[in-house]
Amino acid sequence: MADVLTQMKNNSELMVALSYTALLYNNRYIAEEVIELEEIVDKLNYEMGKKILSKASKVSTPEDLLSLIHITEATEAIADAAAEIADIVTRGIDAHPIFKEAMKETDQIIARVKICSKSIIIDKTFQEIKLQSKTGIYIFLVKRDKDYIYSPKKNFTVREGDILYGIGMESGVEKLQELANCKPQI
Amino acid sequence: MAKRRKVSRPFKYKPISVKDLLVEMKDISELMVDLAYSSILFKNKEIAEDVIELESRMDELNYRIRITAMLASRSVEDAERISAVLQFASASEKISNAAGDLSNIIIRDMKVHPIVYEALEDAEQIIEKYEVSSKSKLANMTLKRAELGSKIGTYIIAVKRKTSIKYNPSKGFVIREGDILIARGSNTGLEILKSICSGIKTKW
Repeated sequence: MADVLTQMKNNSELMVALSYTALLYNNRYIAEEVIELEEIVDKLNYEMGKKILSKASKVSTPEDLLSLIHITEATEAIADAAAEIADIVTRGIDAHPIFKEAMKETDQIIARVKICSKSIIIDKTFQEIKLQSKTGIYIFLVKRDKDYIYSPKKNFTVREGDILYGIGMESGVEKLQELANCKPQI
Repeated sequence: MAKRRKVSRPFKYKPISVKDLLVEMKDISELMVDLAYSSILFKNKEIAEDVIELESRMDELNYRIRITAMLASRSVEDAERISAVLQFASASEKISNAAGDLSNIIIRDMKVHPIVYEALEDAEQIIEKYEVSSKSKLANMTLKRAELGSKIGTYIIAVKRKTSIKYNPSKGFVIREGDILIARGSNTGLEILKSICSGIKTKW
């Protein structure tokens, strides 16, 4: 049960970060990823609801489960709000340039970089390429096919097609794009 | 029940840029979520009440952005773009409301189920607090120089100094001995931060 809630929290927070990034770059791919995650969170929410109810029938003081209901509802609400932000991008409204300015003022920029063929970092570990000291970007997530790998370790080996998510300064993002041999998808 | 019910007081219209409003709404809503989870983890009413306080600040920002948006619209194109701004503002407000609901668990003295702690402690991003010891290299260092974000992936969401708490400290904030840092990050990153705060680790 705890693992379902953990996943909900992880996904909802990832969605918020990604939705801001989608706005910043007016990027449909990222926005669609948020929408996909929203479906996952919906399923987890349903699962969590069933688990709470079945637990409630087995304990003598079901009100002890109230905190679980509150947290589940809150993470679901956060995920929904993130999807609404992503929706601005998927609807194709020429997102106001003001978003770009606003997002740049917050000091953490989230980068999303795909590793393309002939990138010099394919089959190398983060440690070998000294990614962090070279770019100043902290990679917090890698998407490989349909899987999300959170907080990859130093000995993580980069493969072609991986999508790296990192936090850092904008100058670092450009360096990372060079290493990845991919132009940003717009 | 909640200790106090918010009373909406009248806001006075002041011209302010939409960009500034958006930045503040984004920053406050993110901060509120982090603080709400930490109020539960640390069973801290003080932090929980601050979340509720920030919620009314969000209400005010939302009001201001609506007024500013209405005044800015001159054409259909304007209106379309501004609707996006309003959608963003309403989503940020939803996030902040969710954070307020989380804090209410603590404010209403609700019993926190052990599964909640299990789930929060296993989460990817967790929140911890550490005291900066006199031996720590962080003492008298600015957050900018410390580069905790890009080097170890941990973010200082608040600093407790004596009786006051500074939320969202800026880059120029100087860390002092005895400060309690409330930080968000992965388990690995926070372990490193812990040894930096205690002075065991001097390079990162």
